[in-house]
Amino acid sequence: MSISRALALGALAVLLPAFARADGGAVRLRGGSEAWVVTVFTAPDLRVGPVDVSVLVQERESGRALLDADVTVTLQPPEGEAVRVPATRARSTNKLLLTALADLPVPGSWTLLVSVQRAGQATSLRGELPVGPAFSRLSSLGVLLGLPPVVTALFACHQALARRRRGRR
Amino acid sequence: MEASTLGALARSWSFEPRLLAGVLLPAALYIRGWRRLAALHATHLPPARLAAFLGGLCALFLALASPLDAFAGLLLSAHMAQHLLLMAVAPPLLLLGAPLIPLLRGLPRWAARDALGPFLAWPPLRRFARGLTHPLPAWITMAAATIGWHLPPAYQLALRSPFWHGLEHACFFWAAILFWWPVVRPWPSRPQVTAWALPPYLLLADLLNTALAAFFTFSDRLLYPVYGGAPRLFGLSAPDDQVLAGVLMWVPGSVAFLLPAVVITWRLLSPPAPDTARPPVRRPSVVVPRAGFDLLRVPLVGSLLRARYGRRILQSVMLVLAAAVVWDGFTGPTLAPMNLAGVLPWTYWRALAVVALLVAGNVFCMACPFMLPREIGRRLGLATRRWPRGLRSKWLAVALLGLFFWAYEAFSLWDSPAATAAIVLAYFAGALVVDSVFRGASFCKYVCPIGQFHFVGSLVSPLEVKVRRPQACAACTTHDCLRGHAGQRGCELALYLPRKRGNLDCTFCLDCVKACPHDNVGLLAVVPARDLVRDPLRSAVGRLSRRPDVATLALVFVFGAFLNAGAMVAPTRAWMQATAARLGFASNLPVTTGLFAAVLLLAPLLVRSGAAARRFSLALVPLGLAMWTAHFLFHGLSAWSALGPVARRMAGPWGGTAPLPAAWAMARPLLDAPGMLALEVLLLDAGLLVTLYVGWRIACALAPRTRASLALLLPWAFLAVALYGAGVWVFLQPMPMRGMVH
Repeated sequence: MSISRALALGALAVLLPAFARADGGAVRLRGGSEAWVVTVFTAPDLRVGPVDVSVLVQERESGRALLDADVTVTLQPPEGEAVRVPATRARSTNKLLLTALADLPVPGSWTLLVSVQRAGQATSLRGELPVGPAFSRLSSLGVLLGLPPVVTALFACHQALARRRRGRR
Repeated sequence: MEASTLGALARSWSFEPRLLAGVLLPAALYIRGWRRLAALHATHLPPARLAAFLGGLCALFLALASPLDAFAGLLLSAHMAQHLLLMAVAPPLLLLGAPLIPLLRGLPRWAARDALGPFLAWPPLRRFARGLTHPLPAWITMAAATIGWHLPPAYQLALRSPFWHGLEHACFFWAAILFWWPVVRPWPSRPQVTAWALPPYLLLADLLNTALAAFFTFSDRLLYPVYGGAPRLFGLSAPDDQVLAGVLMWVPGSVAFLLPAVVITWRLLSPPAPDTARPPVRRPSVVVPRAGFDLLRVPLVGSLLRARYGRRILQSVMLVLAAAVVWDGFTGPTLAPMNLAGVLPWTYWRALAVVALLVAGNVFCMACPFMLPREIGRRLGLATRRWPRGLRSKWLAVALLGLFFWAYEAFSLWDSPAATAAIVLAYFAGALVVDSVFRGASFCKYVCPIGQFHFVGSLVSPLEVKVRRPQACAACTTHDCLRGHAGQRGCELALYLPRKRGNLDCTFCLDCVKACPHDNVGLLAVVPARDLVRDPLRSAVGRLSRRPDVATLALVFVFGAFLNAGAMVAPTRAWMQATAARLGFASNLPVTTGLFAAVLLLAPLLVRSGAAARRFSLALVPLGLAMWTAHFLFHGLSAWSALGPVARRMAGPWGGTAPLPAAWAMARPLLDAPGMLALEVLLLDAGLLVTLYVGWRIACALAPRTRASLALLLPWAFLAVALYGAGVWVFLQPMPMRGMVH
């Protein structure tokens, strides 16, 4: 591959939105049973659209992360049917966490239910999840819409400098 | 710690494309430049510099992609280790690699000299950079970044928001680059203060670091309450974690400042070593002319394309697919998403054809199946007449292309498998009749609207059929590329290779490649869209500035892109319906017809005003191609799995028209809605910028004075920006998948 094509590909990789979703975020719920501590993370400011819910299950005594727990995340909208998603390690960057990816179509106060099962024992956590309206599609394009004016302005400076340089010679 | 936990910890890496690009691209540039420079300035760039630069990039990657980043939100100590790598390890290593000149030499010549050159040589910018890397502002910047971001409100803000977290890291990294600059003094920068100033410079920095670290270590309260609420990992309580973070900042942080201070002081106090370095050996540079990238020389692909029956194989595959489309179109279900004629041409073929135009060239014409049956006509020996003189232009093609765009909208071709099949059959018949009567590739050159679409689009393509060594053609007397010989015909479109410029009228048939006795024709890489900037005399085409028909074709291509996509979205359809009702029509067919007729009438008027207008019309082609690509990719990526159910249905009873299965749902789109929108706008951005650049170059060629150039360009630039705005508006509307299951 020529270096020009590599540069173009690199620029594309930088400009396109990231495909990987960061897990973790703010601690949303904390609780569990006598044996376990369950911590639930989401992004601090949830909006309509795809969201990830990450769950860390630990032994209460030692604080050891329990990697073999089965976790299911259920999201109940203000009105309508609940969304039920299994949390998996494959979706997490931090492999101590289990992450569920869900699409929240409406804003409002959602109910979050996290069910944990392991070795015949089970526990669950319930909490409220405020979901704001989606950002407008136009606002999400800020960088991309700003690109042509910025590049054009830089090009104009470039041409002015190049002309001045040629004039000096 | 258990093995399973350790394993999970070790696998907590993030491989985000933009991060990988941010590390791999500078590495590739540096290695390329270093290899070029090492031969000339061996004393300045020993392998240790290469190792240092690559080590710096590794430290950067470790900081941002390793488990340190994954755990930074849970453990203050992990976050502190990440910051140490960003401030005390990566920047000095990168600067030790003396990256300025190797990175510049690693860039393509045009980028380093033409694009960056004027900026790098601009005296105010040089003075500004020199001022920033002076020890005083550099030290203050580093201190401000360190103290500012460690204040609890700022630090917690960074932990809550990915944007602020990214900004925090960027501040740390770039402030550290400034800080380490006067210490490392990367070649070829010149020192701004005496080297005796550096030990106190580093000691003062260490003092600040020690004070901050001691505050972390000895504070009896949690400085960042966020970590108090986080789950505790590895048996580490929040206060212990804070102490560990303080120790990390204190010990390795101090080493990072004190070690170079000691080394510099040692050097200053040591007697100067005798200069035993050999003067740089300047090896004579031998300029070896390079032919550039040639697709026909690429193993496997090149062999297939150059093979005697290479094109025939591609055409045969397409012929079988076209036959299947015709069969299913007439006998299959009438619902387009269930029919091969509704899916193959409108979802896959269009998307693949435009992507091929962007990454290669006119691949559609190369594999065109309509050319196979016409060979039958050739065998009959009837193709003796010349194409009528009055029709030897693109005007007929302009009308047919406009008609094709109009018919697509007016009769909803995407939604009618039978009509699609009929068009394919008509195409075969048209090619057979025209080329059975007229010599050469008259159908391709003067009639085929799909071919014209690809001719225009390929003006922006990065590959071109052209001679490899012009001097070989100068000695050629047979001109087989044009005339052919007993075993191989020459170019049927009368393109004489030594004078052929650009891709217009080239079907990528590769007859010239096979006919050339000197093996001197290739499918060579060219700068995309450069063909639009120049106006040379082109074989069998003439000068584009004197071809109003070609300019009109380009405008129909461009306006067609926006009309076609615009007609797809609900607000436009509602407007068309309302307008039709206001005018007293039952359907919106008259409004559609009026719009396309307006384009067909307006375009020739626009290009009539002179040679400049004709050239600027062609400059709009990149924007038009971007719009077509964004539109077709939307359908291609959204309905990428549509072929599966259709193939399953066809594999059942022949021509089966079984009812729609209950589970007739497609997989998720390849890109989610925000990703698709970003890709569409990015394509439009690229199209607009290339169009403006080409327009500016044309304006400069036509009027040497800046003000006159701007006056020439301005109306066309406004038109391009208006089209861009219209394109963005279209993509922001909810996009129905017309005729496609989703």
